[in-house]
Amino acid sequence: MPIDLREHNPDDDVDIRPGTNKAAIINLLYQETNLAYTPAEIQDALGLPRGTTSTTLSRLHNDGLIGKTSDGLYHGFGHRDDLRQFARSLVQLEDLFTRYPDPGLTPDDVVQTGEDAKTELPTDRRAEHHTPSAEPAPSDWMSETGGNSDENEEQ
Amino acid sequence: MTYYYPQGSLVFAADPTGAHSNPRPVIVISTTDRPYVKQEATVVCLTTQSEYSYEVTELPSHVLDGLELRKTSYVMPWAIYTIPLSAICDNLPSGTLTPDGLELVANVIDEMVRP
Repeated sequence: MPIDLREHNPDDDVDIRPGTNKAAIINLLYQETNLAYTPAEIQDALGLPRGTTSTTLSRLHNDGLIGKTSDGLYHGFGHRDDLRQFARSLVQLEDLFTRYPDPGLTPDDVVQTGEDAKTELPTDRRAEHHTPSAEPAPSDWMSETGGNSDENEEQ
Repeated sequence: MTYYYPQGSLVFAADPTGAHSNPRPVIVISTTDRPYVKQEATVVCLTTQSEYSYEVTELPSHVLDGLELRKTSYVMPWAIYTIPLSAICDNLPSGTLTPDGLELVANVIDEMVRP
């Protein structure tokens, strides 16, 4: 399905709910954007039903959130730093719930007595753009200037 | 509307896997100056448990605006995460810390990281 360029903005916010099939596929494809998957591989990796997988892949592709090669492999886009960042935050969210599963405080233990916290973003922060966050390799980044810790332990 | 949760917001985050039915209360510690402010937030976790090997600090009720906690809650400064904004439940209670509350949380984290 073609995308209406008058309504399409590649810098739109990532508006995908964690826990959805869309989020699971984005999470998989944006862990390493140099890797491409067949729909069957995605289905197996995520344990999704076949029809659900193909429908969700089509929607993500139509929305311009993932790429598809001419031979039918799906992949994340290397230039979509926002989606890669989203995938990383999904991993952290899962880690939060795995490591600290029982907070002891549920929504029933909290009473709303005033305004909620949700706030409109200041206009000067809405048009932010990000440069790719590729970091140098460790050897290009820093070098040892003294003895290493193994040598120190042996002394 | 493009929205966010300001620094000091006390909100509930939902488990993306559905494995845990209870959402988790967290405090947003990032400001609008953080990158990707439209899609994620940095948060510190709250707990009702006080028996950890690392000392936890109570979040007193008088440092909260807009909501009231029925259980004594503590800040876990070692449990800091970046989570998607869309994981924050906007249909559950939320509120904000007062300036004193923000100062308390900042001090708790500062105590952990300062040499």
